[in-house]
Amino acid sequence: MESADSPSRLDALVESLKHKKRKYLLLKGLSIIFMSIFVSLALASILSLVYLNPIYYTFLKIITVLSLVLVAIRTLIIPVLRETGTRGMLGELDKMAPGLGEDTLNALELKDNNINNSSILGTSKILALAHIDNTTNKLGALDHTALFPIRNLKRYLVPLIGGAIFALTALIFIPGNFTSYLLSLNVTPPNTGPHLELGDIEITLKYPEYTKLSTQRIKGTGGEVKAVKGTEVIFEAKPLNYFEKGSLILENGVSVPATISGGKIKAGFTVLGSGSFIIKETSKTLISETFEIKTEEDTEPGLSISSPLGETIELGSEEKVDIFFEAEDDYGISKLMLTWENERGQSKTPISKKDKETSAIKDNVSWSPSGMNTGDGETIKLRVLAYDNDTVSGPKVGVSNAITIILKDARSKHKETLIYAKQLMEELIDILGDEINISNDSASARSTESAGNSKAGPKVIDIGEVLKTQKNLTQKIEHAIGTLDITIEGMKEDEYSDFTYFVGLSNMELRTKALLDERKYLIESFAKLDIGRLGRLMKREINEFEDDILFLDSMLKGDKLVDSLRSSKDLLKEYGELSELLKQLNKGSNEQLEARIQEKLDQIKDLMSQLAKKMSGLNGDIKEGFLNKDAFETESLQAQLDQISKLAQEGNIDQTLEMLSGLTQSLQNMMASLENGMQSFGSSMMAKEISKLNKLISRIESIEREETSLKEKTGELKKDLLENPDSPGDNLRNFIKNEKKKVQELINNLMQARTKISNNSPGEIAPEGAYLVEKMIEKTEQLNNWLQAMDFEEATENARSIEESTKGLSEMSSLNIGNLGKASQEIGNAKRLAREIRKDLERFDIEEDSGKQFGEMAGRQDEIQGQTGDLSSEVGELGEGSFVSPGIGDKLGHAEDFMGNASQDLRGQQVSKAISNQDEALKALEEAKQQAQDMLQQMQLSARGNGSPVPMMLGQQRGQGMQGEDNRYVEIPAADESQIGKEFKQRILEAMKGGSPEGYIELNKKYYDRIIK
Amino acid sequence: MKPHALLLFLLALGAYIFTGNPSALSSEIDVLIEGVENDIKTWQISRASDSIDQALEIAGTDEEKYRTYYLKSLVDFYRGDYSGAREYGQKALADKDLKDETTFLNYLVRASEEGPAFNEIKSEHFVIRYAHPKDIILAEYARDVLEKSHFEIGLDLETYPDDPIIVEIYPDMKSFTLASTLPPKNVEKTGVVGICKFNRIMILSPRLLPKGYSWADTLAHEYVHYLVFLKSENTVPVWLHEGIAKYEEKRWREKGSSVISPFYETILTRALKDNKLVPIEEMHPSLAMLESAREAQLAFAQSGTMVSHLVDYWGQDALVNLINSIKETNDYEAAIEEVTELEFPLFYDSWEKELRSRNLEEKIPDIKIKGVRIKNTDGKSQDGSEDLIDIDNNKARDYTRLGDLLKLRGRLSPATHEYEKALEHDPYSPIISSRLASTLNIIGETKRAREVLSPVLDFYPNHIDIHMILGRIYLDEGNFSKAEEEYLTAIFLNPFDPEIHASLIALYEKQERPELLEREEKFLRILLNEEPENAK
Repeated sequence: MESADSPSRLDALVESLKHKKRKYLLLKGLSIIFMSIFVSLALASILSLVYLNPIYYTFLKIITVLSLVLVAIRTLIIPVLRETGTRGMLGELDKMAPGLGEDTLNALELKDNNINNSSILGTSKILALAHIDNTTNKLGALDHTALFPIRNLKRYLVPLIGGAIFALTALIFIPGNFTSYLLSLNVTPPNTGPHLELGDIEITLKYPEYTKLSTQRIKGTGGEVKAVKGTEVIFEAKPLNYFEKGSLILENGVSVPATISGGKIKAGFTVLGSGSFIIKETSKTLISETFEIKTEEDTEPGLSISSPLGETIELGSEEKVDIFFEAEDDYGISKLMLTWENERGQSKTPISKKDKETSAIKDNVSWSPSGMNTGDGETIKLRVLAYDNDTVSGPKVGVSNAITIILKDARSKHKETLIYAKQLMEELIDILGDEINISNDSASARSTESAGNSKAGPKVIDIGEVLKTQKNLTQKIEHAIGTLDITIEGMKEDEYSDFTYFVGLSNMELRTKALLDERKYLIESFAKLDIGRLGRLMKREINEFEDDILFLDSMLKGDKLVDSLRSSKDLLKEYGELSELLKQLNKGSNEQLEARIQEKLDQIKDLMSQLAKKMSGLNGDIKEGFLNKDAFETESLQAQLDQISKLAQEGNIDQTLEMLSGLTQSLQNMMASLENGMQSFGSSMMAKEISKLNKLISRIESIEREETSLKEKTGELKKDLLENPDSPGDNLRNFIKNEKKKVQELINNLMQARTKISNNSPGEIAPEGAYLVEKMIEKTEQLNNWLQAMDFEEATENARSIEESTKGLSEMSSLNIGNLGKASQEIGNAKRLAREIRKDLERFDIEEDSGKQFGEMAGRQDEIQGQTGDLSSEVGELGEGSFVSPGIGDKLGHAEDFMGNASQDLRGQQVSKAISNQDEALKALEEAKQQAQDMLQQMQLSARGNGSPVPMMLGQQRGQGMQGEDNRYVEIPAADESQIGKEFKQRILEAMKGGSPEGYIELNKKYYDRIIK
Repeated sequence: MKPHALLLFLLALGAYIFTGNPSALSSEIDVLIEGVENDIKTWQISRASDSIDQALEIAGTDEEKYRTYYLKSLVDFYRGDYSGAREYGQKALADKDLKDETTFLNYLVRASEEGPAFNEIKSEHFVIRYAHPKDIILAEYARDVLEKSHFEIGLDLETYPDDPIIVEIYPDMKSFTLASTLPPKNVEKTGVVGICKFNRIMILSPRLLPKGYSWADTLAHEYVHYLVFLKSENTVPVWLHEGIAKYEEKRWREKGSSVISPFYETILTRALKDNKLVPIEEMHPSLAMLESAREAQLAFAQSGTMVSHLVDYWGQDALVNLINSIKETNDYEAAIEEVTELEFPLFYDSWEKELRSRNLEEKIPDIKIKGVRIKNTDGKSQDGSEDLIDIDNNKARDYTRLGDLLKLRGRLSPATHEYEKALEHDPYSPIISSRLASTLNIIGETKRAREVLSPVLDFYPNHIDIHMILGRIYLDEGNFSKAEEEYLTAIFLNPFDPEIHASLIALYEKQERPELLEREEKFLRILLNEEPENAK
């Protein structure tokens, strides 16, 4: 019976047979290949020992590889390709069951043709199916295992395992360099010899000095080295092979001899870059494996500016910017630099480091364009640079982010301020004119009235008209104060404004506002208008505005000088640039350069013309004596410039440069003259004050010298009286000696008395009379001191008092009051001694000569006191119209008082006391002199035109109002570098606005006057 | 060939024929050279010029040539021919043997080279040179002053030079000090702005002094020096030279004027009181070399009054005789004795005694005698503050400045208030007084203006502002003759103020004096830079 699914069964059966056959062939081929590999490896390894030659090694490798390839082709590829196809399999079937292969083939063909189409089949479908079915059945019934005898593969197992063991053994025991070569992709072997086995590898790394890292010892390492450049490496290892001598060979061929000691080889090298090294035993040409060297990178310092924030900062030419930065480096920062860059180039300055050795820095640095060759409106880039301390590869530089500085247009600002100052002056002149007119009209009305118009009766004042006029004036004053405010505010921002003038204007504001307040009170109060008071106010206002106008006039004049100097500096800069261009021209001409030179010449001419205009403005305004007029020959300078231009065009560069040098010299002379003028101009303001102070100091010094001399003479007299045996003081010395003995005896008696009084009344805390005795002891000790000091007047007085007291005690003792009776003897002795001492002192008269000397010295002291008094009075007078610290007069007054005391002491022959007073007088003189010298120094600084403030009086406001009078002499601190600028001016302004205590307004006014003058 | 040269030549030729010695010919040049040297010493420059030209022709040896070049340079320099002086000076400098003369030769060449480029105008007896275009105004006025001086002073001294006299107006300090050989410091210190040297008169343009100076009197003064030099053949000592010049300097405009002005009276009184007269010996070699302006002025006052004393007591002839006698004897003491019959010490005593007997007074309180202040630029400063520095009193200066500031802004009445305050601190200041008077005049207070000016005019007759204000007042009042007088006085101090010429134009228009009007108009145009440069 035929089955309709026979064709598909046939297909499945045939495909199954083919699959199984392929599997079998693969397993068989692989077994053979692996076995071949093992054998080849083992054989090759063994054969590699025969001859240590790269060519031989190469040959061995090629043979081995080729053998394996052949085996693979033969045992795997060919059988699989040939025997796993349909035909191959049918052939196999025919061998197993003859005819079955053919039948199967026929069945497959019948199946593949259209089974339903007889014409194609050439037979009937039934027959075809029957054949297929039959064949399928036969195939199905056949034992296929003969086709792929898997079990037969077992026979390869033993050789395979044996081969593997053989190969493994060979690989283990045969030097690995050939095996590694064999297994590598290299066609030819490396130039190596037999393998040198190393064990217990130890590496010591000695890092470069700059890293500040301690030496590191690494044990149990594979031998690779990882370190920064410059690290010294010591390689130590125990050779497992024979090692007689050898060396460490770096990749670049450098060979370092290796020593062997204690069974270990040792060799060193310095890491200069990445690479490798080997150890070579030279006697037997054993070579170790290759050890890798990896260099660690020393990174450049990291750096950033943390403040100021924002990319662009506007800065005045005299202002400064504080730059806060952070820098970090792995091995430390050696130096820091601040760079600034403008269109003319780059400059840098070192930043001082607080710590010498640090790898992380947080610091700040101040930078100011002051004194640099910068121009208004210019853009400057600031950066911080950090250099690490890599001394091997050279320092690496870290660069911070940049800050862009745009320089303020300070000159424009200054000009703007000056415009307001000029406007203020105009307003004040207008007000002054009005005030004078009003005052004159009033005066004229009064004089007309008193001149004979009495018949017409007293003139009626039109209050309404007066008020109208005054209100108009008030408005003008208010407006002027507004302009003054703007000017002051402008000056705060204005770098070119002079500090002294700023203070002056601030002062002006205070006083003008005070007057305005009074004016408003007068004309706006509901009370009847006080014409008399208004007149007096206007008089004060006129004085005030006169001073104010003169002050502003002086300020504007001074500015002209400064402005000329600035222009001169600009011109000098242009000269320098022209000189550089000419030097370039000297090396080679080109049209562009020539055009630039011409442009520069035009600029210089323009600047020169501006300067000439400014200079001509100085004539008349500034005392010519201050300036060296020969230096102002601008016409001559212009002519020289024309000549320079001509010479440059003719190509006569050397002569051009020579002329330019001359021109530069002339300009420098002119600038020197201007600077001198400025200094003199400043000096002239205070020249008289300085002169007065100098005279004052000189006179104080003279008095000091005289007083010192007198004091020395007094001291000599004292010494003479006490010590010189031949002097008239011999008696004195003996007298004092004797009296002191008596005094001591008196003290002893009194002390004994005290003991007796106390001892005999143990229960009493303060026995009767004990206090008196105690006080007497004190007095007697004082007497001793007076004697010692040769103050006989005081000593006599003291002795009298003691005598009186001893009398009292004696009486009390005789009356047996308290315990005094028990010490009657001692008290009696004391009384006697006291009387003796008193009498001695009263009798005593210093030698006539000494007395005369004392008298003379007292006279001299009177003279010096007189001089001091005169000076003190003069200083007092000076203080009213001049600028002298109030303390100087006070100190001189003190000195005068002490001298008076000394004079009295001398007359009373109280020599020690006199010396003491003379000492005090000298101290007071010294203090007065010191104050005067301090003031002089301040004034001299100020007169140099450096804007340093002169000392002045400033009030101190406390709380809501003035609480008492502040008598301190306050000086405006010098505007030190860190404080120059807006903030400092603001501080002063606030201090000024703090108000002036009573009396100091006038002193402020005097300071103000001095600036004007 | 001039007769004397011909005579010399014939003499030399005669000597040659007579002696038969060729060296006699070379003696001719020696004679010529000696003559030239003597003529230069006595400023007989025309004669010297003829002689040196002859010498140049016959100079044979190099030594003779260089010697004649030197003298030719010198003569040309004295003649004011600077190109010739330079040319021959340079030739002479080529000779290394002229060691003694080298310094002077160098100076001649430098002065000739670096001197200003002069223009000139001529009068009958003078050649007036000027360099700055505006100085032509001065030159024009100077022509009249010099011709009057030529006549009047010539009459007094009985001397009239044959050759035209060169007068040079120097445009700046540098050229003046170079030409005059006066150190600049001395000029500024002692106020010497004119000099008669090298056969010519040299003055500094009053343009360079803020308020000018009495240049007309200075020209006359220097002309007197010129005449005395010629007449005495350079034998009169400096002090007497100056005395005669001081005595005669105003002669061109008035006769018999007193040497003693309030200014001189003040300083003489002080010196007599303190017995601090300048000794005659210290007046050598020049009054400009004295220590201070005060000493220089005192020396002028002393020598001027001494000559006045001589003329007053011994007559004008005595002065002429004195010069003649000194020329003969070269001994001024002997000459004075000869003329006055008094030994010099007695003459001196008589002068001092007479001076003391006059009961002179210190008329000008707090007088300050200063040197000259040279301006570097023309014109006044915008705010007219250029002369404030001459006010010594600080408060006076401040109030004046305030007055100026108010006046500039048209606040005239308040300005007078400030000037009045200033005057309280410096009552006789011509600067303050003139400002006050000027302002008062503008606001119509003419009477007060005159009151203010009256005392200071006596004390400071050469203060230009006072004359300008008075001129304005008289002009406003219609007193044209007085106005003209004041303006002309101002011109003789400083002719470069346009206001003067504008006022004179107005005045001459009213007076219908076309010639003078035309001249003033021309000068005004020059000052306003409307006239082409160097227009004559």
